[in-house]
Amino acid sequence: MNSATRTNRATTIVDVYGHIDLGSSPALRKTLLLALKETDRLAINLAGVKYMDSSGIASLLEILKE
Amino acid sequence: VVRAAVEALGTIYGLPAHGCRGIALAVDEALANIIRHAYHGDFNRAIEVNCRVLADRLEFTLLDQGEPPDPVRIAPHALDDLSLSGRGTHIIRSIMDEVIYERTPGGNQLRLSKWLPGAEPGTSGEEKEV
Repeated sequence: MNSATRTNRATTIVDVYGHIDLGSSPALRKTLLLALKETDRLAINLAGVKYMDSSGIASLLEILKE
Repeated sequence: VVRAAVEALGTIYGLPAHGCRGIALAVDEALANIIRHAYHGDFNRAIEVNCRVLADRLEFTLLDQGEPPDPVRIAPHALDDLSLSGRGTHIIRSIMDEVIYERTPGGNQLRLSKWLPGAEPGTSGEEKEV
């Protein structure tokens, strides 16, 4: 899994690529939590994600709850 | 590696593309549950994965020597839209046609079965170990 963070107008966008599973979801969670600290408008672009398991879904839900 | 092998096995035995992706996800979720709950996050403990092809089904057996699962956690239950846990078990039960957990002398054994297209469940016939 890879990710890149960019800003478009007032929105922080995290582009995510590759496979999200038990091994990589902690890194995704960390990236998204860091991004969320710096903005109140966060978009997550999952167009480049080829695979996601329940740990990835849990990470996204955790960010949604934050 | 396991995901790729399981998906390829599904393709060879005639499952449609979404079915192949589904069984790979289900086996992956089961492995993740073992690592997370039975082995408490230790990625280096052994998990034995066996694949059998029967006349009516693909059968995946996962064996671990970790802590036995909490029966409440592995029982079928409704999932809250925002719950952070239990989703893996829910996914496994949604995809696979049969999910059987057994405590055996060799450890915790989870058997996941997916019926093959056109096969009548219960006509297991000869088996092939893969």
